[in-house]
Amino acid sequence: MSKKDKIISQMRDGMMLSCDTATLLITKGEYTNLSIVEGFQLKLHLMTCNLCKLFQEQSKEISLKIDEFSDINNENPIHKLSEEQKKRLHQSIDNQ
Amino acid sequence: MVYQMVKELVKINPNLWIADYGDFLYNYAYSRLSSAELSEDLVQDTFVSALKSKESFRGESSEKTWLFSILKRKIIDYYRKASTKNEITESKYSSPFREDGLYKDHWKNDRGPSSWDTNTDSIIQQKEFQEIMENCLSVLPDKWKSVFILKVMEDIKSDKVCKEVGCTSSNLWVILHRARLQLRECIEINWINE
Repeated sequence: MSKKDKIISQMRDGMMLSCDTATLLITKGEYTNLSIVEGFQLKLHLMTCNLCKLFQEQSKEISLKIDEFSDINNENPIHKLSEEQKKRLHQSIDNQ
Repeated sequence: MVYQMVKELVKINPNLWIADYGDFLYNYAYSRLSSAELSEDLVQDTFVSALKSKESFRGESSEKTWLFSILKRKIIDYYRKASTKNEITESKYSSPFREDGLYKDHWKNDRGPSSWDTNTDSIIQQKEFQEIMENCLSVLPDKWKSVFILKVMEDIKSDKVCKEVGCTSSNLWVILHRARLQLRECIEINWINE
């Protein structure tokens, strides 16, 4: 990295998050409250970074889809017990 | 009369468990374990534990909720054990971010998200998504998978997740961060661009 590049990169990092850190904060922010500074830095980053914005949208979509199928009230199980498995389960219940 | 009714409600019926809840419990386990054999084992353990502790079932929750709470405990136990197995898998992780240069820690050219052109929602799509998610989850390192399942799918508090799998709180976010980066990319490759 040239000296000039280094200075540019340091200046940018001082003001702006890297995509690595921004996406980490996106994940963290889904489960906890970010600090005011973190929240501000992330907002600033997302204003200029389309890829991270896309990451945020897709993460939300993935989380939503996961919630759908992993809920205990999911009425559409895609994996069902085979007759053989049911037989084995019945046996283990009867043996108790 | 009222007492009789309450007693009636509290009654559990093991003969109907498999017919009433079998597929739901099994699918729930499968979505978290990506294995038919393991899922069957845990459902069986759940029924056995439930039968052993049926005296303690007081009907405060429904029979279904009660069985699910036992299965959830089994899944946590499974991942607590799995997360201690090995730690060397970390080196397999290939970061989607540049390792050096002016744009260090920004997306590599060919590894950033691309737009998803997803069709309308349907059960078929949901089914496809679940299958791909299970496959993508199954290739994560054990520890990452443990953290992801417990935090994201079981919705357990961070400090409790760390207690189960042995990690610090900042460690937890880094693991979850990497797991989600890898999962997103895996989903994009298998689901969106197939």
